Amino acid sequence: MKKRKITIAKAMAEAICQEMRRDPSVLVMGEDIAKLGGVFGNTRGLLEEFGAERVRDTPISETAFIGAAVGMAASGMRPVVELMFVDFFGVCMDAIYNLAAKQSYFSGGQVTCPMVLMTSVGGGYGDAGQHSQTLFATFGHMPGLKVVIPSNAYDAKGMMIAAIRDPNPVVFMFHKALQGMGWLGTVQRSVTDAPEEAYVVPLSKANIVREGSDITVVGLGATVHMALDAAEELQRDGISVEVIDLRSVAPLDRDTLVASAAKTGCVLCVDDDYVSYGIGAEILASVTEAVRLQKKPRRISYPDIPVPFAPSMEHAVLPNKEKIVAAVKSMVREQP
Amino acid sequence: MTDVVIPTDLLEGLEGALSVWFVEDGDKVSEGDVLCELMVEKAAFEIPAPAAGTIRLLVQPETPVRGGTVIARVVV
Amino acid sequence: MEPNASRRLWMYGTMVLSREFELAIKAAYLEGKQPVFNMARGPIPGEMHLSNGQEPCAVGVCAHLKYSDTVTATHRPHHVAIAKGVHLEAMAAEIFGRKTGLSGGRGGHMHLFDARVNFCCSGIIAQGMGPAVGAAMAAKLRGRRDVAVSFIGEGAANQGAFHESLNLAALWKAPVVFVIEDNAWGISVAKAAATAIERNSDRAAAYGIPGSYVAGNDPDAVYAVAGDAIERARSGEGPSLIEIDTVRLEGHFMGDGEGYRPTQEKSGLTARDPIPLYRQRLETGGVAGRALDDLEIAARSAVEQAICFARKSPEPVAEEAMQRVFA
Repeated sequence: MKKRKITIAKAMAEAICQEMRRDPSVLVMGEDIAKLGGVFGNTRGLLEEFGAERVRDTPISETAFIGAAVGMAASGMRPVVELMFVDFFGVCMDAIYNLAAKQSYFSGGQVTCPMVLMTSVGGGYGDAGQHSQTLFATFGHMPGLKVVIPSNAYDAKGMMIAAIRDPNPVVFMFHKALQGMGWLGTVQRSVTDAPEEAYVVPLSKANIVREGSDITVVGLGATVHMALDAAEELQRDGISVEVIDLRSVAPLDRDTLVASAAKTGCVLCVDDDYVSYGIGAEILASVTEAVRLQKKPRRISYPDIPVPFAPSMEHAVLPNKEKIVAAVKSMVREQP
Repeated sequence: MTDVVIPTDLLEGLEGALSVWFVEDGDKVSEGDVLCELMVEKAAFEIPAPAAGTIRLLVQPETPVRGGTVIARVVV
Repeated sequence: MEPNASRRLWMYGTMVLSREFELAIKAAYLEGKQPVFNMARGPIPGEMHLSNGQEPCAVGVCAHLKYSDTVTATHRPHHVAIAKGVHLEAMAAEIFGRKTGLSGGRGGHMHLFDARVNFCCSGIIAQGMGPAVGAAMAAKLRGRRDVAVSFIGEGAANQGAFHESLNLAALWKAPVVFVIEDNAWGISVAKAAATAIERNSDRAAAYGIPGSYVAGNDPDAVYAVAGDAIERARSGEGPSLIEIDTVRLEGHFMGDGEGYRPTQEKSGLTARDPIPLYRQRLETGGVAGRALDDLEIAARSAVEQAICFARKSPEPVAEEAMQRVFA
């Protein structure tokens, strides 16, 4: 089969396009998603193909248009709606966590919410405290929401198609560092082959992206790539690292995590959300409830501080390959 | 052998840079396949393969390029 | 309310200062970001939203304000900050992310705080409005004649916080003035494609407060309308809404190719630059060209000094990121 590489941005746009062709009930709404094709390139080409009725630029009215998306979903449509930066959730969270997330439950299953909320996450490029957060734990914590984040274009396309077809509300997060937009830098490993035809990547499964035996390192989004870079370096030191791409924050694939933890006996979680009450906390709690680990587990996360602007501060507090390498070495060498 | 050249009119005399390759050195490509993304000032462009064959990459990402620069070759 | 000669000179000088600052920031921002425009690179990473063209809104309003009056602003704050009297060197240093910045490099260009002059700004659309109502109420409850001014864009008028803030301010008769800088674009979306009515100033009536529209991006016209609104507030008569027709000369953010903006509009922008137009008016009114030249020279010098200070200032050390989360 011929190879064809695309960025995550293109993968998302292509997935939405193919679903819009297949299913007339799918539409897209958000700020700057029509003519501009999205500030992050994830809706390019859609306005030209489907027109303004199905591809709608909205005013800066998140509460209203996300609320409207919930209503459209309840009425049998499949809206794909964008919250430009996840940090903006403060102005529209009720529609998300009190309505979308609870529609199926409150109606006893009569009415579901087949809505996709796509939103950009992550920093590392100087966008400061209100434009750099990831907030995985905030969204993962709310019952009734599926929360996913791809680390590469292949997953992005398949997961977006799965998300659109899912009868439940899916918060589809995409990390700005991986998007493939030249102006944000590009992580080459996230630019992958992706079939031209539609395909599905199941939403609730984590992916073992590198097999290993000495330690399990769990990452999501950008930290998957940091973990893989670290694993390559650690290989040269004779340490065999198993890297798991979490892919889904909610539902959490505890089976895959527990099986890997049982195999290696040693678990390190790496994420760029705030540490307290976060991703690492949930993964380690889930794993240690099921498995007696051989080494003390650890998490590398973002500290409990607002994201600082100055690069000398921001880059010092972000997770990175070096921190992972140091942690793995010290964990693996720990005496039982 | 066909050169993959940055079109002169695309850059309007400005300097651009390759931001990402979509193929690897030695890949088989068909005419029209998107090879890479080029950034000029604030806009992004896709460069297609001019012919079918094996691609040889000549330029690293983020290297400055101008109209007329040969960035790759398609070898039959 | 006409500005007198000295106010006019202050407004011109401050607009020039603001513009020179933006030009210097733009140049510094673009360093390291060519040929590939990677936002993380260079001495000023992240986003940059410049205020070129919108200076009349800032000077016409702030000409009436004291240090003890509060101003909240947006992600496009520099002209307002300068007009409010924010410390220029510390502001430049903050934009460069240095230790000597207003918040030690923690906030950056969208989160400038200068408590000395009661100025702050933040990046979430319309969210500065509630705090302005609060600052106004604090003044009122303490029996002071201070006021608060909230600067927003026209896109913010479609956000929930706009409507809640206007209603609350009206209900409580808060001494606050809401100023809409209408530059006709919310990133790539034209005002007509986002707002159901033509004039946001008409929305004031829905909350029982006065709403005024100022045409032509004219500092003197802004001065007149703002003067009335601010005096109203100081006298205990409550809030007002002002809508100013202004112009965004650059893209939404640096790096914005503005492919969505009609070519004719883009090519007509230079003619709408308010600074040369105001200079012309002043000279026609009898102000010596020399006096205006002197203001320009002073502006350039102040900006050069501020940028130099910023560049020479040390970067914060990593440990400082952990400080100031709590008092």
